[in-house]
Formats: sequence, structure tokens, C-alpha cells
Amino acid sequence: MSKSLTRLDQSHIASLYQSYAPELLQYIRRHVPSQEDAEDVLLEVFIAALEKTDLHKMSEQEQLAWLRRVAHNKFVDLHRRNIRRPSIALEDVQYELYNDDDAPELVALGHEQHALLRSHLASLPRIHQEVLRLRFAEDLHCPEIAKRLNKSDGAIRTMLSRILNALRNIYAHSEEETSNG
Amino acid sequence: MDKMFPPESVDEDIDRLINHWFSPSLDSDAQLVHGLRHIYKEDAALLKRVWRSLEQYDKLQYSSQHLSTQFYQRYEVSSQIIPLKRSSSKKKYPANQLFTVLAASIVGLFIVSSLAWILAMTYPAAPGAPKNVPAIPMMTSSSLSHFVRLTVHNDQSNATNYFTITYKGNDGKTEEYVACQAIPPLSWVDVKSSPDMPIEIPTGQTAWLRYFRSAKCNPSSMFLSVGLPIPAEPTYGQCWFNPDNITTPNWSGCVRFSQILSIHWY
Repeated sequence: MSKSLTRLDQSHIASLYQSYAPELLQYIRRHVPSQEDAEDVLLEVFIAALEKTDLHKMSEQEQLAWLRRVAHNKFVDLHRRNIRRPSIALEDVQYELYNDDDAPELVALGHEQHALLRSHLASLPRIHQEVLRLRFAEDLHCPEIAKRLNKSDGAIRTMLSRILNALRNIYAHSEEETSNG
Repeated sequence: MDKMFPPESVDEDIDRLINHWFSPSLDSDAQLVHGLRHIYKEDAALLKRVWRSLEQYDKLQYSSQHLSTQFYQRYEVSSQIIPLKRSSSKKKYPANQLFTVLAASIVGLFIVSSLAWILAMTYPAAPGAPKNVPAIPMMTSSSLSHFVRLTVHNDQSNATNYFTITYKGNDGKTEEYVACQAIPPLSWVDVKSSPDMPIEIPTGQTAWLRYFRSAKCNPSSMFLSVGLPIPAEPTYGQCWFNPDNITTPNWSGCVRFSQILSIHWY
């Protein structure tokens, strides 16, 4: 987010965005596979939130429920639009545009693994997702994550170790399938 | 399977795999770490872009409201619409001046009616002409007859998906106008034969102009959202919308909005 505080930074939308946007994005991505469409939907949801003047009067749970409902309506609209005007997701064609050196099947395999990993991540408890986000998106180490989440360093290390070992199976299985097939 | 990422060295293991990844197809642990990093970095970047777009939207929304207020203030001044202040009327017209004002009104009324009588005698109505035609046309410069024309010029950027304009009417209903029907497998290039795509939006409405992605560019960077109050005054001196002033981040640099958009009165 930008360094100088804007009007929006000071509004309740900023805290709403910080708290729920990552979770909402996961929810949207489960229904909207294309990254660009997910981005559009997320933006539309928060524009709707921005325009809803009485949103801050709702409880936190009601706000999240409202955001999810709007997101749901938006991706239903998107699906309808896509039926009328079919389009190709950028992820599906980007290897043609950018990765001339990579074999398409490798790129496709990578996409499949990412999609699989995403679906597993979506099923993780919120706290696990937050730990992974802080470790891999913000590059924080366990002591920093522990401080941020108000937990002990040991607890975070154990949690991260368990999550990663559980997720390893996805790659191990896909490797086995590749070598068998 | 061997136990990896033990709690005591989980951070070091992750860092090692991130920094020393030479054979991606062989090492599933490295793939996992890079997969996670890819997904979370991608999401973080996306969230950042969406937030920037929201900021932009909010800024434009605010400035368009401000512009609208300024416009109406200017319109009021130029039209010399001065609100009648009842409380000050006694001060303006004290009792000793009341007779003068009354006399002037009577004289004025007499002159106007005399002129009307002379005109009626000089230019009699044609036979069969409808009676009771109002002397002043009901249509004024600020009535509903004006539109804003929005013209989308084609640029060399290909594979633009679509271009929509959403405008909100005074009744609060949202209308969406798809400006460019050229969508995959067709492309923006396909509308090259008709470079100008005029769109007419009635005055007194707010148009949301949203420019969607181009496959060659980073899609969300191409997002443009502009809140445009369409003023009712056609002789509004300045450009209603100057694309050069739009500071939407254009990361890829593929398209400059000023090259593809122009909006003007007609």
C-alpha cells in the first residue's frame, strides 16, 4: 500500500481490506480460475463496499458475509458474461507469449500443480494460511511471524513444519504420477 | 517419505531451497517452496494492485464530485442566479423607496404590453396557426438535448479484450455499455476499420469508464476507472475529461491512455 496516507487509507475500507481481502481472494479464486478475472471481481467487490455507506454499521461477521455475497454475485455475472463472450484466460496462453524456451507441457504441469496447491491451501485453517502468507509473501522468519501473530516462536515453527510436510505429499504424489505415467 | 522441514531448522530449509534451486524437475521440496512462494507473491502483488486501483477510484470519485460542485457553482455565477434573500428585502427596499419601485414596475409593465401590442399588429398570426404558442421556447441550453460523445480511438495494442462504460442514471440504475465488441478470438485490431466508436451518454449522469486488459500487457495495470459527472452545460469551457491528467499506473507501458481516448462535446 502506498506510503503516504490517503483518504482511503484512513477509511474503514482499509482495515476491511487488510483483514478480508486475502481470504476473499482465495474464495474468489476457487470459483474464478483466471487470475485477471479474480482481480477484476475483487476490485468490483471493494468498489461496491466503498459505495455502500452503511457497511461500517454492520458487525464484522456481517461485513464478511456481505462481501462474500457480493463476490458471489460478481462471479455469477462474470460466468454469464463469459458464456456470451467466451475468452481465454491469460494463464492458458502466457507460455506462448513469454516462455518461448520452456516446453508447453512443463508449463502446463506447473499450472496444474499450482492449481492443486491452491486448492489445498484454500482448505487450510485461516491461521495456517496467514503463517504461510507471512512466510512466503512477506518473507518473514518464524520469530517475526510469532511476534506478528502474538504466538511463541516454537509454536510457529511447529505449525510451519507440519503444514509444509503435509503439502509435500502433493508434490511427491504428482512426481510419482509423472514417473508412472 | 523422509521428514523434512523440522521445526528447529524450518526457516533455514526454506531459505536454502529458495536460494539454491538448480533442478526444478527433480526436487519436490524445492517445487513446493517455489510453488508456495509463487502463489503468495502473486496474490500479494494482486492485492497491492487492487488496492492501488481502489485508491485511484476513490481519488477520481472525490475529484469528480468536487469538479461537479465547482461546475455548478460556476454555472450559477455565469447565469447570475442570485438567491433571493427574504430577510434582506426590507433593507434593500425601505418604506420611503417603495413608491419609486411600484411606479417603475407600472411603467415597465405598460412599456412591455405596448410593445407586445405593436408586434401583434405588425406580424399577425398566419391563418390556421395554433394559438397560445409560448413566446419563449421551452427548450433551453441546459435542457435534455445534449449528450457527451465519448470516442475511443484504436491503438496498435492488440488483443484488448473489451472496453465498457458503465453509467449511473439519476434514477440510480446502472447501465453498462460495451464499447468494443471485439473480444477473443477477435481482437481490438479487428475494429481498426472503424477507429472511432462514439458513445452517447445523456447529460446529468455519471459515467464509469473501465478499460480492461490487453493480453500483451500486465492486465490489471490497464485498469482505468474514471468517475465522470456529465455536466448539462454544453459551452463548458474546459475539456470535460483530459486523459493526460489520468495518473493510473501503467506498468507495462504498452498503452498510453492519451493515445486511445478522447472525449469531447458535439
